[in-house]
Amino acid sequence: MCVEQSRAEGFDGFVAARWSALFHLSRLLVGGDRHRAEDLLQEAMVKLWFVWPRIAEEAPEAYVRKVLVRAAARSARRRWWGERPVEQLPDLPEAGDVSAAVVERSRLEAALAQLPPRQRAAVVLRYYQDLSETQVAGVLGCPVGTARSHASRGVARLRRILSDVIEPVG
Amino acid sequence: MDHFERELARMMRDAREYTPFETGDQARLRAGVRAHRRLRVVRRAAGSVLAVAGIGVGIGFLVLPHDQGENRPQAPVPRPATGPVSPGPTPAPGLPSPTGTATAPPTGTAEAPSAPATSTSGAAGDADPVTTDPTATESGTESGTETATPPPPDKSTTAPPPPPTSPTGAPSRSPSAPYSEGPG
Repeated sequence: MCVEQSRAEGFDGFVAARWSALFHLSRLLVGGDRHRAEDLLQEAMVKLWFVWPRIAEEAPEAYVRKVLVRAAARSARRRWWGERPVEQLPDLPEAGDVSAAVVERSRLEAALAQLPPRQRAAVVLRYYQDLSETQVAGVLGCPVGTARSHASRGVARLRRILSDVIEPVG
Repeated sequence: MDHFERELARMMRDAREYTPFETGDQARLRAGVRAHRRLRVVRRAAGSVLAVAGIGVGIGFLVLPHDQGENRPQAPVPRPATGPVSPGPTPAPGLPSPTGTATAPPTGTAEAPSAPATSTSGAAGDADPVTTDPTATESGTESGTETATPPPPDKSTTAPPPPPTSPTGAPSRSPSAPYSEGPG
């Protein structure tokens, strides 16, 4: 009973502390869909609960990250979530009525949504999580060369999509 | 990392907004854990039921064929004992040994195992029923009734009764046919 309680306390503390950051990661991984990001994070946290005694002292966040990435790829493969790749970004918010930060985030999420799940995951892990190529490959469960290829292709595509937002220097 | 990649990383970080872990999220998480636990229990129960069923079926398959295999060889054995009697003429001579076997046919199947057993036992433990019959039976007294008959060097154990009594030794070879014929 006491063990169970301490387990629950430690788990709740971790979740409360890392919820916001993990939710943002989840949202980037699914291309901005808030509800789907919540579902994925909940699923990852439920899985974390069952392995918590084993990995609480090690790297629970790395575990959640891996679960999120794989669940995001799987869910994108399994179901249709209403995403449809288009040439032009749809329904861009007007710059006058919302803040610039929101506009920028919306454009970023819309651009990420156009990437295939693996490329999106590689880009997010590499540039948002600052993971090395080896670590990205470990999370994706693929060779380093494949992870590097996913990341470079994803960045190349984002470069095209966001060319008007991020202007090249020089 | 070029300018675009740096800007991309910055955009990803700046896009983050604070999302507190609310009570609704907590309740949902707990419900998810409970549902997952229930699912695990159900899966485990179903798995064990399937395992037990599988083991039962496996044991059944192992045991059943074994029983049939034991029964089948015993069924044909009686026929040789009945075979020599069926020709008919054998009881007529009235020798004591044939009479003993003559009773066998009607209930042959039940008593049959003893008849062939005695004929072979004449070999006193040796494995070959074929070679032991003529000589060993005379000396051996255990199953004298059947083995006393000095049949021609027939292979089958049932050969003994007919030859001495009547020259219808030919029928004595017939047992081999019914043996292969199968049950009537």
